[in-house]
Amino acid sequence: MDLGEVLTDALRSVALFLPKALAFVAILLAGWLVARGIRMLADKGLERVRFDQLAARGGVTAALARGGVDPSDLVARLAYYAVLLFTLQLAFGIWGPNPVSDLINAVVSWLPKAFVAIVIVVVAAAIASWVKDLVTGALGGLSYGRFLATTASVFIIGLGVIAALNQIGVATTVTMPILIAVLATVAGILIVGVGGGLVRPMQSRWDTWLDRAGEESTRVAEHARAYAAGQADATQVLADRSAGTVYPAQRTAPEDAGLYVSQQAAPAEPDAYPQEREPLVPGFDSDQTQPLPNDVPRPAPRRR
Amino acid sequence: MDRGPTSPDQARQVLARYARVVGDAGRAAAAADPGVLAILDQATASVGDALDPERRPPLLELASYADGLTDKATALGWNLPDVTTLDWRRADQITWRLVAVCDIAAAVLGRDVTAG
Repeated sequence: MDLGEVLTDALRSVALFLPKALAFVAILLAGWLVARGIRMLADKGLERVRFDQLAARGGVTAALARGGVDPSDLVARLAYYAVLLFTLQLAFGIWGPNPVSDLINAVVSWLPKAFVAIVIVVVAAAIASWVKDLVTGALGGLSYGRFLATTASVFIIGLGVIAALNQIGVATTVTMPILIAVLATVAGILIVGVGGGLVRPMQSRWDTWLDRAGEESTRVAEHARAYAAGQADATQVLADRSAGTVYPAQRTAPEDAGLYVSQQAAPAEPDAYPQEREPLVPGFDSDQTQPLPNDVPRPAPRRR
Repeated sequence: MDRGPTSPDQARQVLARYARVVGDAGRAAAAADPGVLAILDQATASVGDALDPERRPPLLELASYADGLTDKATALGWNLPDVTTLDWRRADQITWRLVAVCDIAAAVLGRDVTAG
């Protein structure tokens, strides 16, 4: 191998490499220009279709404002980087199969998913905002109307975020447990909030029932005591009478015969209730001067 | 034993029945004759002592007392007199206590028990 041959080889290599490098730089330059143009067009176009206002309804703007971008800006920038990526893909394609191209290919194939995910979040946020407005309008008069509205909007945003995560390929093994946890939390809040709210009314209802039962039992006890008092009085009065104080018995049947069922069971012995008695003292009209039983207490006559 | 009248309405019904059967006639007789009125006063005092002397007995207790009195007396052979022909000066103590119950009930109600 002589020097001339080596030089020829080197020159050939350079001659082969230079066009590729030039093409590479040219493609990058063109791509960068195109990307800038697309970025500007996208920004203007999206602002024209009021994408910002749509996103603003859902509160995405407020979240992005901290990062110093508005949604249309963000999407435009995404388009910009997408075109840059395409450019890079194209440019690296010149060198034939290589790891950088593989990586760029993967990123490029992932981009549409990211775009769809962003759209999903924005739309979900907008829907959540609408639902919040709707619920607040319908139930605003209720004390829990605002709470319901916020809950509904948060729930919808959560669903949107989970759908977006699924879309960009974050494993469902992560998002589904999150979804289940959120639903379980909501169920728990409902159970404790609604069910716990019923504890007090139920308690007062129980109080009422127990009070009523107590009142009833008190009444039954009072009835028993008064009934026993009546029985004792009857026994005492009738014992006094059979012991000697004479009361002419009234044997005629009362008008309201149905009132006392045991009337028919009254003993027939004449001794117990003498129907007639001879006056103890002849000429003394016991009918008109009737002594009271001796041991009946005689309180002062009641004043009228 | 039954649970007795457990509501003021029931007690009022029971007392209204007693008033119809015996109480109204007895109270009318007492109002017409001071001698009879004295007997009624004594019976009223007896009823008050038999229940709680410290307070004016509620209708429920009055109704239960009247039921116990008549039930026991009837079991012992007493019969309700015919108030239309009764000489109230000779009426027995059971009858008088029933009249007294009606009298106290009327005072509790502030009006005639039969009206309620």
